[in-house]
This record gives sequence, C-alpha cells and structure tokens, in this order.
Amino acid sequence: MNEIAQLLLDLLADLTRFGVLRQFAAMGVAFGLWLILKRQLKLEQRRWPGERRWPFLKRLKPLANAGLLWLCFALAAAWLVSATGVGDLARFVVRFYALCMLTRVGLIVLELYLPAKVVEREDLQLVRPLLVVIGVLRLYSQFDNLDALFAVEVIAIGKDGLSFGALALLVVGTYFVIVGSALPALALAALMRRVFQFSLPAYRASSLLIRYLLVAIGLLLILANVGVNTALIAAVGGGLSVGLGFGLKEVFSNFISGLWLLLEGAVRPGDVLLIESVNNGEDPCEVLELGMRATTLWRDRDNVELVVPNQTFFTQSMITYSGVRDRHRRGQVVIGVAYRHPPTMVIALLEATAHTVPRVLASPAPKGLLLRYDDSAITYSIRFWIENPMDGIGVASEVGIAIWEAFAREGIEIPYPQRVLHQAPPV
Amino acid sequence: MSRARGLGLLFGLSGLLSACGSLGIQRLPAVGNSINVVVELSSQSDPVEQGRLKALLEQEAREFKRLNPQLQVKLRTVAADRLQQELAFRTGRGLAPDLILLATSRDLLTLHQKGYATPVQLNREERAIVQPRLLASLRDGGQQLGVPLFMAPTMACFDRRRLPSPPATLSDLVRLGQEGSAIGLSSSLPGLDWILSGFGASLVPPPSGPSRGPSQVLPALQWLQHANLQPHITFVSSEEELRVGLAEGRFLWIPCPSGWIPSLRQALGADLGVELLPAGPAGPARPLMAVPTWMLGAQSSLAQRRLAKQFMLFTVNAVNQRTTALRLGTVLPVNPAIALPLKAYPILSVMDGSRRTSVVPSLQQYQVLTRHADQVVLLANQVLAGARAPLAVAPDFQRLLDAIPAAEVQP
Repeated sequence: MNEIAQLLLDLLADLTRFGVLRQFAAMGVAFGLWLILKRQLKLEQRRWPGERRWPFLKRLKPLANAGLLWLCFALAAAWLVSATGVGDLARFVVRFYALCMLTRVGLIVLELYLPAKVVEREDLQLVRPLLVVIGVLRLYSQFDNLDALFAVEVIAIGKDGLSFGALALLVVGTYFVIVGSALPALALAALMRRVFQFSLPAYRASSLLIRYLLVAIGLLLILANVGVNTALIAAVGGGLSVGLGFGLKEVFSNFISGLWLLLEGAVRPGDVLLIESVNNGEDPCEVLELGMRATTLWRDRDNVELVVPNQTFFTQSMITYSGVRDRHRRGQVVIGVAYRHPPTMVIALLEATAHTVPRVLASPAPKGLLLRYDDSAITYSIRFWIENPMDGIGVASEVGIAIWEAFAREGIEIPYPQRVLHQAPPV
Repeated sequence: MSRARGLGLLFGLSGLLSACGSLGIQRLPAVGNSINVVVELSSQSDPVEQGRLKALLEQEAREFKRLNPQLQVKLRTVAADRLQQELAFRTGRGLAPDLILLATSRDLLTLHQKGYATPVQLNREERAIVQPRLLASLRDGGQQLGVPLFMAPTMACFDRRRLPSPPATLSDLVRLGQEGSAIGLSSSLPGLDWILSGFGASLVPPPSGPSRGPSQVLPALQWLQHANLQPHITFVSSEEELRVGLAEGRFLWIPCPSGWIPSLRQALGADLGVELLPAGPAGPARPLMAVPTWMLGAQSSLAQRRLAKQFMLFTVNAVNQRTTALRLGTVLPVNPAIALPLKAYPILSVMDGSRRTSVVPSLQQYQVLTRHADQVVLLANQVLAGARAPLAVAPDFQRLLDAIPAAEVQP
C-alpha cells in the first residue's frame, strides 16, 4: 500500500509543476468563458436554424452547451500549444471530453432503435462508469506509467501476491462484464431470433442464456488474466461449498433452478402461467423476468408484480399457456336455460353468439354443450378459444353479455330457481 | 458553488490529508521541491547490471534526500529505444524530467537540439570534480551540455578454463579461430570500431594522429573478410548474442563492455577471464568508451534546476564515485581525485588499462557517427558477407571516415 501512496504522492508532485498548473489554469479560464457564453447564448433554449426541416437537430439540442464547452477547451488548448509549445494535457482534456460527447451522440442514436428505458439503463450502468474508469486511467497515464501502478502488489497470499492491476481487473472487470454483457446478449439473441425464427419467449430466454454465457466467459478470462492459481480456486471452492451447505444453499438452489428452467424452456420471459389465487381461483400471470434468484411475474388483474423463487417452478407442477403446442387458451361460460326451449336451438344460438365476439377465435370454433338437467334449468356451456391467455376473464365477460342480449332478443328465458310446493289434503 | 459542495470539498481534502498521514506520508509535495530523474537503460547492458545501477541510484537518491529532507526524488527508468519518445511525451505535457541519465553521451547533442536539454552552469570548483577531458567531450559551442557520471570501458571477456591465454593481437585472434576456438565478434558500430582502430582506421580520428587513408582502411576491411572466413569466428549483429553466447559456452572469447561482467561472472564464475582487447598492426585497440552522462531537463523551475544540479554533482563527488566504482566493480570514476586500489581489484585494473586507450567521441563526432552508423555497418556487412570485395568497398568507407570530424578526446 505504501507503494501506491508513493505513486500518488509522485502524481501530486507532478501536478504542482509549473507547466501542468499553467495548463489547468488555461482550462479554468476556458471553463469560465464557457459559463459566460452559456448564459449569454442560451443555445439549448433558442430555436436553431433548420430545426423544423431536420427534426433530429432537436435531439442534439441538449448537447449544445457541452459542445460549446468543448469548443472553449479546444481553443484554450490550441492557444497553449501555439504560445508555449506545451499543451498535451489540455489536449487530453479536449480529446476525452470529445469522447464523452461522442458517447452522448451514440446514446441519442441508440434511442432511435432501443427503448428509452434500456438506453437509460445502459447509460447509467455502463457508459458513465466506463467513461469514469477510462478517464481516471488515461489521466493517470498522462503523468505516470500505468504499468508501474498496476504492478504494485497490494495483497499477499502466501507466495503469490495480487497486484493492484489484478485487483482492479477483478473488481472493475467483473462489474463491466456483468453490466456490459446485456446489450451484446440482446443483439446476439435478436440475430438468432431473425435467423431461427424464435418466438418472443424463446428470444428472451436465449438473450438471458447468452448473457450468462458471456458473463461466464468474461469471468474465466479475467481469472485467467489475473493468474489466479488452481490452489486458490480450490480453497475458494472449498469455502464456497461449506457456505452452500449452510446459508447459500437456497440462493444456489434458486440460481441453478433458474438456469435449468431456461435451458428446458419450461418458464421463459413472456410465458403465461396460471397461479393459484387467494380465493382458490387461478390468475394468469406473465413472466417478466427470470432472474438469478427469483422470477418476476405480472398479474394484470391488479397490476402487481409477483417475485417467486425459481425453485418453486422447479419443484412444483404448474399450468402454462405457452408450452409446446401454442398459447391459445380455452374459456367457457356456463348458463341455465328454461326447460321449454329445445336444446338444439339453444346450443346453436350459443355457438352463433360466441362467434360474434371479436376476441373469440373462429378456429377452433366455439362449442356449445348441454351439461346437465338441473332443478329449474338445463345447464349449458359455451366453450370458446382465445388468443391471449391473459384475456380469459375479459372475453368470458364479453361472451356472457352477448348471450344475455341474444337470449333477450330470441325470448329465451334464463330461469330463476323454482320450487313447487304441494300441500297435503287435510285429514 | 453551494455551501454543501464547499463542505464536501473541504471534507474530501481533509480526508485525503488524513489518509496520507495514516500511510506514513508526513509531507505533501510543494511546488519546486520534487525532481524527476529519468535513467536511460542501454540496450547493450544486461538486466543484472541494469538492476544494480537502478539500486545504486536509488541508494544515492535516498542519501541525497537524507541531506535535503524537504526534497522528493522520483526515479524512473526508460529503455534506450523509448527515451526520445518518452521525453517528447512528457515535454508535451509540461512534465519533462529535471535530470536525465543517458547511457552514453551519443544522443546528448541531438536531445539538446530538440529542446530536451538545458546547458549546465559549472563554476571552477564544480568543474574540478570531473576529469577535464570528459567534461570537454560534453561541450558544444561553449556550453556544457552534460556531466559524466562514470566510465564503462570495453574489454575482452573469455572462458579461462577453455582458453587459457587470450589473444594479444588481431592476428592471434584469427589464429585461435583457425585452431578451433569459438570467437564471437560484433558487426555493430562499436564492435567494428575497435577492430578498425587496430589498423589505424578508427571511426573517431585522433586530433593529432596520422590521417586515415586507404593504407589503413583496406587492411582493416581485408582482416574483417579474412576473419569471417574462419569457421570458428562468428560475426553477430546483436551484442546480446555475444553475451549469451559466452555465458552458454557457444563462444570462448568475445569483446565485452564492462557492464556485462556481473552476469558473465554469474554464468562462468571464477572461469571468467577479462583482458584488454587485442592490438592491431597500428597499435593497441582504441574502443569507444561508454560514458553515462547526466543531462539537465528543459522544463524545470529555477528551484528544480538547482536541486537537479545538486543531485548530479552529489553523484560525482569523491565519496560517491569511489563507493560506486568499488560497489559496482564495472565502472571507473570520473572524479580525478580518486585513486582506486587497482592491485586489489584485477578487473578494475584491466578496465583502467582499457580506459587509457579508449576513445570518448565528442558530441559532434557522436552525432556524425550516429548519422553514418547504418552506412558503416552496411559496408562492413557487405565485406563480411562477401557481397563486395574490400578493395571495392574501401573508397566508400573512406568517404564515411572523412565525414567524421577530428575532435576526439583522450581520457
């Protein structure tokens, strides 16, 4: 650690050199000039020429002040170089700021193709941290040799030591492998979807699997690069197995269950599952995300997100509407009709009525059935198929309303329960 | 700036200061009390010697800091082939080193002309601690561009066990090759020069010696051709091959700079023999001597320049020079006040003998030599490869020799 402190001290000493201070001062002046110009010009508020003709100019407006700052920096750096011959630190600031601006432009372009939420997530989790890391390392390399910093040993494990570079790679590299694998995995999955005609759930599952694969490869590469020896891995593995035996068992079990479900394709993002509700009914839920520990489901009835541990799906049976065959769901409406109406006529009317409901599929055709002879009515059922399993209750309601209207029109009675009482003759 | 930000900055700075304190750093650097020293590592010197040199300079920096507690000395090493690139990089950022130790004075004039060096102002007392001729070799236009640190002469190294008596002359060398002793020679500029000097055709002409005419150049080229025809004499293009070759037993005899001695001794132990280079028909070999040279940087403040000069002169004072020479055992002091115990150190004695005949080119000569180095080596290689006869090459070679000014300094 003392070596790192010494390197930082050397860096501090370099920062106090006259040539360096002069460049920082010039950048400070440029920054001050920018503050004044920004206030005067109000570039982001004013209407730009050609803004109506080229709508993309509007998207670039938030970058106007940043561009102005870059221009101030660039002018200051150019002046420094021409006047003193020394200005490469200022040039570095200009180049790095240009890189930051380019990433902003890239994100704006990306927003044209990807949802804003995804772009924002990538910006916050990947792009900005990456720029910070690049900026810090590049800035340090302007002053000193990065290799020397990376070579400093910070942790000694027996005969082996862990250098600062290796530690940084382990921590920062792991973070960026995990965060940075999301977009490439999505892109690869999209490519595979196009080539192999994947369904939406298969596409989502494949993107997750690709991401896990990328992360695994990345972590292995990091470990290989760091040069972690096999004895250390064995020691960590031993410790991990003890941990798994106790507290980590559930976590590990859920992770493996999630992986297995993905591989098997039993539960994939986009699938619809039937989950038992509190009042013994069943609610259809859509799988939003299959995470490392738990699966997030969306229940449209009350717009809640249910977080269910992965091993629940692994150990219990469940009903899915997105399995091997198709996603169609069968719904039914049960209704009682007075005895006086001929069943054939009632069934034909029920089937014809169900056909008129827009969200009922024509094929397979709705099917009317006489279920049983009850006390006060003959009970019929009209069974129909719908495309989206999440719409079951809504479509059943529409079919029920259509039947009521059809019965009213045709004079078919839906009887109340009737009970005939016979009084015994007086003795 | 809002109050919250101001407080945050204040806490951040105090945190940094307390962190420095907890790490044992008592004093943060202030403007002008730190100097950056860059040490050029020659491609010819071996890793063992490079490590020893770096350790020695770090020791001297610590000693110097002990005398100047306010001072920070930051020492870094740079490979010779990256020095100019490094200087350009750091100069462009306002971070040019305050002091540079060049492996030889070969590029000093060029570096000065490129604006990387500042002349050194030395008073009479300061001049007295360095051999005048060495100082004179580092002057240009009345300006002192550098100060020598020590001298590293070139000698002959051989395997004493397999070669009991080393060759005393170039004829003996060829004879040994004919008899089956594996001899390694270099076709690089320094490797050729000591051979040429034996024929009076040295690349660096003596100031008052006989001029180098065809009668000197042709026999030298013919000797090169003749030597290369011997099955056991090998000319290599890389100096490294010679050192490794002797250490691994492929060669029995090689010319070697004094910096190779530690690693060769590691490999051969007591069997390592060190002797003067063989003489030629015109006299003793006059090899080019490497003189590691201090050079002041061009971007230092007055205080930094003063400190850099102090450190430079500290390394050439009598105590440090003597300690350096005896501790390394591979260099000779430049301070004329020191008399080394040569009888007790046989290798130092040989080195001193080599010093007497060695040549230190002036900055101007080095610059011309560097400019023509590729051409000299090319012509020599044409002779060695048999592509052109010595007679055909001699006029071209003569023209190159004539281009090198006669301003040599004899230490």
